[in-house]
Amino acid sequence: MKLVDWIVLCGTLLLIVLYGIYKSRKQKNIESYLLGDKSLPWYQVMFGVMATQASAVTFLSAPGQAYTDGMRFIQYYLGMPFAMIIVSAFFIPIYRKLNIYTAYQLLEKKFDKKTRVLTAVFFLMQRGLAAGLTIYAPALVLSSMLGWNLFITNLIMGGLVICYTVSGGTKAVAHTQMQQMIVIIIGIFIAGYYIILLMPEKISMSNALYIAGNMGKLNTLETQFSWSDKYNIWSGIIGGFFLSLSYFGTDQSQVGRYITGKSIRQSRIGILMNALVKIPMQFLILLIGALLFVFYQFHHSPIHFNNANMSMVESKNRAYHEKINQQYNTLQANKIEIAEDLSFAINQQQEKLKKQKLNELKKINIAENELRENYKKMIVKLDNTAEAKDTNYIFLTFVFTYLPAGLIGLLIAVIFCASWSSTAAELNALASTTVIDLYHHKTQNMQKQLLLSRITTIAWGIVAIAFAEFASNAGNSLIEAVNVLGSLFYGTVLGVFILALFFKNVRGTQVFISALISEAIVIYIHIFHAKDISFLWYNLIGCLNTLLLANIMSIISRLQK
Amino acid sequence: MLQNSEDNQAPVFKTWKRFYLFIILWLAMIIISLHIFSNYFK
Repeated sequence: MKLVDWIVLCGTLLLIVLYGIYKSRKQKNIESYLLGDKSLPWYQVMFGVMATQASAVTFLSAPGQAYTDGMRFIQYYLGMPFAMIIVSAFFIPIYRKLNIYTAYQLLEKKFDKKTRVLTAVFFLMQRGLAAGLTIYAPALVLSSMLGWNLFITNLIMGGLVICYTVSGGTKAVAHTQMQQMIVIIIGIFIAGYYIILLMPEKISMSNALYIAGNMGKLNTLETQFSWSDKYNIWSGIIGGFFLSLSYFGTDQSQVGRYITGKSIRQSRIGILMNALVKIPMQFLILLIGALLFVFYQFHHSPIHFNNANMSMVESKNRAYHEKINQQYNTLQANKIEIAEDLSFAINQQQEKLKKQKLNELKKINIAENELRENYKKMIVKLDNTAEAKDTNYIFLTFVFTYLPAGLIGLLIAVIFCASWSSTAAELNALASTTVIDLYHHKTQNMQKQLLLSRITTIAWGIVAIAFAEFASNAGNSLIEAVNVLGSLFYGTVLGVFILALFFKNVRGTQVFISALISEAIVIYIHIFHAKDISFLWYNLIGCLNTLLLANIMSIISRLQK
Repeated sequence: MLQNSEDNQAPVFKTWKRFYLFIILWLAMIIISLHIFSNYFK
């Protein structure tokens, strides 16, 4: 990294932190600290909801995912607009009417305290650990690519976000999230522009899309149904709907964003605008990945995109590293030659040559992928704690290799911003849930409440950093376990909330028992049938089980009377 | 359930129901566009 990159990086981050602290300097009581005095306009709600959902990994992995697997990931978001409509029509009015701080308060008002505490504890468990990963995952990528110390990167990544979240609370989170989202969008689209700019001159945009389409990278819609396939239109619309409804309707890190709107109207507009812009934005980010794939048909790409893994293999098994790289480089030279011939055939409209070269390019990409996979197997063989998947490193490799000085700093700032925007919302939500749902009843003194909120934010920040440091030593399997943990609870919690909103006859104990049973069923499915059923369906299963069991219990108890 | 008359007023559209309908149509248009997009460049 050059001096100008450091200036851009530090300048951008410092400005955002100071702006957040300045805009939220007056915190009178717990209401201004946790609810931002309910003063936010719709666009801040929209940016907040968007920035909370999109962690750094989203921006790092989405282009990489399109590069390796095509754009089919877009289907994951197809159920989201329906969920947003439900949140806007039913969840927002009730949260605002009851004037609550956290989503779980609703459950005590409708059912009983134990149901409220159960869902709050589910949230604290999964979100507390996930906050650690939101810090750790981008820190790992940066430390691998730039040779930074992982321990210190974790500390800086987590430490600065604690500073402004503790000092300014919800308002600081909202103000910084808007700036962060703007930096992210600018950074990502500058990188996308450079991919197009650096394509060979004879490759127009439509030629690039033609190559990407024929190499299977523009597979945005898969209509064939499969329980085990994560990304098809059905799992996207149905599974994605339940996942989005649980996340946006019941997860405090999201609820905490939109209940701070100036009015019900502002909260609703914020969330509905998110429904309108999210899919097109995600489409463009994935398209950058598909175009990056085309770019690397004309340029040399490394056999593995994570430098740290490459150095490890080179030092532990030099002969293998050199041999496989030699094979790979020969393939690369052939590939670039075929791609050049293909672009000639496209421009000259020679249909026969076009088809022949496309077939050759496909075959050479398959051979290249085989070598890449073999290399990954060697990585795991030499170090079983290493993360062999290099999807998160593909986009950044392009950034570090081809972008001019200054823009590299900006793109690193994008990663920090994306991580901070999610972590800040998570810490804020963890603090509100701890104070309001677990401790609130113990003190009525406003100053004490405010102090307690600040202390819990610091405490959760420390937990998150400590978990990030622990993850650095524990390796890949732990990260996967935490990611799965989130999807295990969502369905059941959503079921409980739907019972609270739409079913008048069910009682607290019936809901509590059915939540525990349905959670046990989801965990059973995950342990014994994870390969047959994609995790997107867990939300639907958990939710329906909770609804069904609670209603059966309610009917039986009414019949007995 | 809504607190005041301002809350009942959706932007651009007269009612929230129309706004929701617009979002559903928007999604349908996106799905059709994605279908065309994935088949067009082949």
